[in-house]
Amino acid sequence: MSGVSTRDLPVPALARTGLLSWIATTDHKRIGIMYMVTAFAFFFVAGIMAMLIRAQLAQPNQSIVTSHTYSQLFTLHGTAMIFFFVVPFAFGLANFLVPLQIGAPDMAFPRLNAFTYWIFLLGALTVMSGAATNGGAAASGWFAYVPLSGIKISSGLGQDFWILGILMASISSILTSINLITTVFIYRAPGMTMWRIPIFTWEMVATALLVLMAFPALTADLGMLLIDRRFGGHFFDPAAGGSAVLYQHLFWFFGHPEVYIMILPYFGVVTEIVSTFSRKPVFGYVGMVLAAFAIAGLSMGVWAHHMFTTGAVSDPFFSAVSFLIAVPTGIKFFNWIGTMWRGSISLTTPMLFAVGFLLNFLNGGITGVMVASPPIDFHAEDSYFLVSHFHYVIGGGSLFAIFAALFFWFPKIFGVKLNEYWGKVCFAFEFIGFNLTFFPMYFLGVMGMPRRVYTYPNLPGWGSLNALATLGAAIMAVGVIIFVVNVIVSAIRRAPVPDDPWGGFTLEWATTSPPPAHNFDRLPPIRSERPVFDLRQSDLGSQRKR
Amino acid sequence: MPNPKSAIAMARTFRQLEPLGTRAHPLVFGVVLFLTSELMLFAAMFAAYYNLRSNSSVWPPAGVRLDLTESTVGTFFLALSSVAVLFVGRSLNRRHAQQTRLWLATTIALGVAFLGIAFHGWSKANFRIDSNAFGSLFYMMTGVHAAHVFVGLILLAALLLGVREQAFVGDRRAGAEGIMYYWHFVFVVWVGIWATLYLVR
Amino acid sequence: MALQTEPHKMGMGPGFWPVTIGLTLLGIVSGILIGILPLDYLLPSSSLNVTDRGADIDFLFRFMSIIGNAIFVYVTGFVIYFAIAFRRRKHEPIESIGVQIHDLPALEFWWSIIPTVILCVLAIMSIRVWYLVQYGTGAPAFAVEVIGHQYNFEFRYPGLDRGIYNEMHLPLGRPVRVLVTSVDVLHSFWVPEFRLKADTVPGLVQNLNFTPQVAGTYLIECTEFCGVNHSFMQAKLIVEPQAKFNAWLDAQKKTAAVAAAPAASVAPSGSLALAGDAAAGKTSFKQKCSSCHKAEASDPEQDGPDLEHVFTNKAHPTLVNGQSVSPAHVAALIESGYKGSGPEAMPSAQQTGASAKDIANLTAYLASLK
Repeated sequence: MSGVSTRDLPVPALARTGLLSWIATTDHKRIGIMYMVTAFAFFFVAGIMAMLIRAQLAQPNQSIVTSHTYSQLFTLHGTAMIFFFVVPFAFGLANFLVPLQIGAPDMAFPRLNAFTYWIFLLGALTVMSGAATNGGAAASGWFAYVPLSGIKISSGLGQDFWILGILMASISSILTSINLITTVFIYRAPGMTMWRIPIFTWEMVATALLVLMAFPALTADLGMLLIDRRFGGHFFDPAAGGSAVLYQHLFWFFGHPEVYIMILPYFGVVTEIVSTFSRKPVFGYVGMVLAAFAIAGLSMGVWAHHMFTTGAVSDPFFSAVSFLIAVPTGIKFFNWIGTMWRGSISLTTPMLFAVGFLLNFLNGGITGVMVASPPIDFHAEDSYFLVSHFHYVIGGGSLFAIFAALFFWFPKIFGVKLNEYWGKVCFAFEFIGFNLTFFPMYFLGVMGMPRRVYTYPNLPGWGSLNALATLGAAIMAVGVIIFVVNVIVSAIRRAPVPDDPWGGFTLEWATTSPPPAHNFDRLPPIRSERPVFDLRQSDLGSQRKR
Repeated sequence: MPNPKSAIAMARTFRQLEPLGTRAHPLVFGVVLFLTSELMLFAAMFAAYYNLRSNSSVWPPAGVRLDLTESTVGTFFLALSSVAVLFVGRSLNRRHAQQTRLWLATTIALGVAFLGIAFHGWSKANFRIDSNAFGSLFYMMTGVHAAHVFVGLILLAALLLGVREQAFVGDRRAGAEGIMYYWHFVFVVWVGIWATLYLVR
Repeated sequence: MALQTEPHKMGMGPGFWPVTIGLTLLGIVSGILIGILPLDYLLPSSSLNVTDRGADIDFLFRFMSIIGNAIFVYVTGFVIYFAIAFRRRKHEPIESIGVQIHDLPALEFWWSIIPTVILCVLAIMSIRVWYLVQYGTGAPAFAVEVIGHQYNFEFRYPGLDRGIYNEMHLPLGRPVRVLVTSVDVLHSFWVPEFRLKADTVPGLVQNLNFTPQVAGTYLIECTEFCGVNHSFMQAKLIVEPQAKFNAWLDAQKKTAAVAAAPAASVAPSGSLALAGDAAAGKTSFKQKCSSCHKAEASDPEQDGPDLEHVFTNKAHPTLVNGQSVSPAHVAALIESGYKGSGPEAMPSAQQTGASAKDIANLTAYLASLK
């Protein structure tokens, strides 16, 4: 309950092995690994769903799966990618890295930490097990709009399982966030002032604050949905004083910050990687941090831009703030470019994925500014234009950063370096496949293809563009298989790898790979945001003097 | 260049040098963050209430009877309870076990009285959770709040059972601090709920 | 610190200015291309200015595409150029480091201010068009109601006391106010060629204001996921000259008058004359209907509409063919079957082999599910 006490510390947790030691662990590194492995398992599940969706849409008027199955597929695909992959992966990575980056022995509340993992897993499995109920899994989309998700239309248990599972995942996220912020503020090593903590840690603080502010709205919203469904409530029933738009207000009050919860951690990942492989400090460190908090703050005030086409919102405030959120995001872009400027850049696999992130995210960001404009929303909202836009942000952005993070921190986490050559092949497949999948969707959207359709009429150009997208998805799938084979082969070969194979800057590279249970035997002096870099430079300097 | 310290020694330094000093105790800090999040949970319900209220021409729906007097008495009890818990903190600081127990028991008794009044209010209300949107909101807000009071009473009772010499320092003292913050929070939120449901309507 | 260097003294790096000029030219040329290439080639059977608001929205889309394109060209160009120009060369030592520059406040100030100004301009342009769509230009408008149903659109015209399904007519060149709402779940009324859409929300009426400017037939699509047959929820929109439109509306009014007459008592095959047996109907339902329809709460979810409470469901005041729910109409629908605008279809009694007695039993069974 009260954090790490000195009594607990000397226990050689790494010496303990076996399944039970993982189940009972409170070690932040193990919990982080469990989060990331679980998240990746859900990535595979959701990825297979995406393949089925693309197969169904490859040609007009197909019926590879039934329409009801298709609705379940895209509901679970969205739910799993958002709630069980992108967000928990970030928390897993943060669990592993944040204590290391600030020189702490563990998270502030280790047992709470373990609890958050298990309740997240339980929630995820609950949602998925809806597929085994009579009537199938939830089939009303990842935002489960009422009245479609109400008891009259979605009478199956699958929808209730979905609600309960998401509630558990949201409680898990809230508690993890409390843990993370407390760790950063209370458990920093001596010398590690707030203006010296690495950008990834800063971005996690901003993310965690957003979770604390945004997720309770989802909790309340789903609670109301559950009351409406099972206890005869009327929150969303216009006939009894309720309002269907209320659900959307509360959902997007959570939902838009959620977008930034899914991207801010990966801004941090990319910042660390771009800085490390450019051999330069982060350009505009303070600007980077302030931009993260500006994004977090502004993102709380833009939710209604998801509802322009409902006609329930005609306040220009939401549009204006949605435009303005591009300013701090732009600052981050300029800072990344500034970091690369006059660096000594090595295009390793993580750096390639980070550059891929920059290009894809830029694409998604620019179209994001376009859909912040309500009139353009009147055309693009709920069309494939929008599908492409948010996949460029979350798929081209977060997913690419996740690959970058995996290649970058794999040696740190497992003491195994992934094969660089096949990593670059994987990047090529992912980058080409991704753009082939989603770029045609911009055109499909402008041409009038609505979102979430089971199939579509054979209008000129629709078939060929969709076929192209399906081909791209297949290429991405091959890239993922290459990645998995790379992990397995590299793990079997176990080529010897130094503790710090990349020449890292931040504190996690000051310990062994993988780190010991208590994280650090010795801490270098912390005089800047790059203590390991400073140490290396002073070592180099003293060598030259000799 | 200062000597790098081992993590264990470092952690020990933390515990010795900064228990409740320059940095907050992690437990207290964590509780404050938790309460921030809780505040947003209730804020979502308030938002829902005022949103639906502004959409309706008749609010609360015709025929809904609300007992202002009784709920005011309940509010008064919870307010007294929130004051009593201040004295729990004071007697903890003075390391006076008997006094602490007394004030804790007072706090709990007032909290139980509040819950009793809340239950009585529910049992005689002429509308239910499935009557209309107002009913759904009323029972959700008061129900979630009552659950919070209930959890708070369990925590206070656990504190009452654990009042010994050790409870006055270190982590345990921080735990007591967290419970007291929580109890104040439960009261402050109730003022909002009570004002919304019974005064503003 | 020894590592700190003064940036203004060391130049921007090899080839910086030529690359910048090249990217500027590329941004301008591709921007001009976006500006002059017709966007509407993307949309079937359309031309620009199909509606007055469509033209505004297209202009905005194009304008933002040009600005976005320029930013995309610059950022992508610089990222790739830096990655190549400043790459670590083979001969460079492994510990070589880049220029250790931490920040440049003046640069950071300007690259915060300039985007803010650009975005404010875009926001003001957007909000202007938004208000025109929401509130109209002030000209008196011809109002049409659009009501979303699972899974078709109903259109209601002034002076016509019944809805028209799956086909919408609008007069050419006359300001129109389309009022949209829904009776069941969320739908969205989208005419891609018009660049306009509005979600249909139960309990809420919102409007779109525009003037159709080109006669023709357009596709109306539902773009808010509304259930299993969402992708088949489409309708036809016909924009025609006022005279032709008036003729159509008059014809509809006459049909309505005929329909309102006692002709509604057409009893199919005499099935109504037979007394239905609900228990036998349940058996028939399991055999003939349950692969597509759900009737009781314990039945599995199916693709076809739920028939639970079909007679009392307020969310579905009409049957799929638009007729009001009555035993006669239900029996008629089972008799005739149904073919919608998409692949969804219900076989006729001839195809299912349901006798008049079966139909009576089924109707009785469905009526018993209140």
